[in-house]
Amino acid sequence: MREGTVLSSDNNIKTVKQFVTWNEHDGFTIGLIHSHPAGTQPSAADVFTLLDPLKIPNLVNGGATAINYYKTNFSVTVVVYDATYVLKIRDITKLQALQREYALNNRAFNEKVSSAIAIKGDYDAGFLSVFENAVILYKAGAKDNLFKAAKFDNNGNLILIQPCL
Amino acid sequence: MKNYLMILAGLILAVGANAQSKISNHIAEVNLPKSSKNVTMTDFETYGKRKFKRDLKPFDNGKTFIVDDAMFVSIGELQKSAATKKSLEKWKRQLEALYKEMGQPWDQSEIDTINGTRFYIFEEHRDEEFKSLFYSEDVDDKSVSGFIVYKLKDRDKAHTYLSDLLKNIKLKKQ
Repeated sequence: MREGTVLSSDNNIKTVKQFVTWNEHDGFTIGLIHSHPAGTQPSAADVFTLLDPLKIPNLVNGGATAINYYKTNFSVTVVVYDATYVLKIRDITKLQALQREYALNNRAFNEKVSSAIAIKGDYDAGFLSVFENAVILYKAGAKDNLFKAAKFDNNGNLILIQPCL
Repeated sequence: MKNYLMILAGLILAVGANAQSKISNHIAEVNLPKSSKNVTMTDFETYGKRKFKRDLKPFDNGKTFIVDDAMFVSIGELQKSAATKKSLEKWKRQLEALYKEMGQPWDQSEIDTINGTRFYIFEEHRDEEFKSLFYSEDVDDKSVSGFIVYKLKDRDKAHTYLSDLLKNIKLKKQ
């Protein structure tokens, strides 16, 4: 179970509980969504919610087909004041390795992320420099709803790639 | 301990031989305060790890300096793309939000105009280790950026150094 904040239709910030399930009765969860009303971009903790479904015995015991379906389709969406981010799994082994590093010392890990962001002079670029081998990051502006994949070009500059229309 | 002292002595000799007073890149000329000793990025990180607990990864495309064996200075040039170009005000808001999200307070977060150039200056600390970051306004999609890492006992000295440094960054504006 995850708790997330959302901006409700009456313009109040509310906490909602989100359950990740993997069975025919409750459904097969392939995404979590929450907002950051304070205006922060996705955090390291948000990234690691991509691994939440692996705590569900039904999924883990569901065999390779179920695991592959989860790895291909599961996403975490974070809505911030000027953009929407969608995170997906690129390499689960690398993501799990980063999660172990985070669990060992989350203060040091957060410092690594904040240091990368400061060095890049940009939140998305710094964030991706830590996680790019483990996750795929999509971003859409608040006004356009067109999701673009974030990646580094050959010069190390962050670019947003528009998918085929 | 003996090895550490030997490395330290070697490094001090090495940096002493590499004093540098001026650096120039695509968008700026920087007259450095006199005590700035140029070191390689590798030495900067290696020696820094012995002196500080915190991350000392320097800025890309830049120079690294050690000042009075107390302040570790990185100065670089940030290339902006369409995806990363933004105002100093927006960057200030993002960095503050990041630290708020981490539950990490900051000591300074201000946009200031120094000798006609706008800079965003951010200072934070963890335990007794401080880091001051600065980012200039953009020129041709580039900005001059840097940091100084130091301990609490050297904080006043570091503030003076930063002030001198920022006064001596001259952007090559059209």
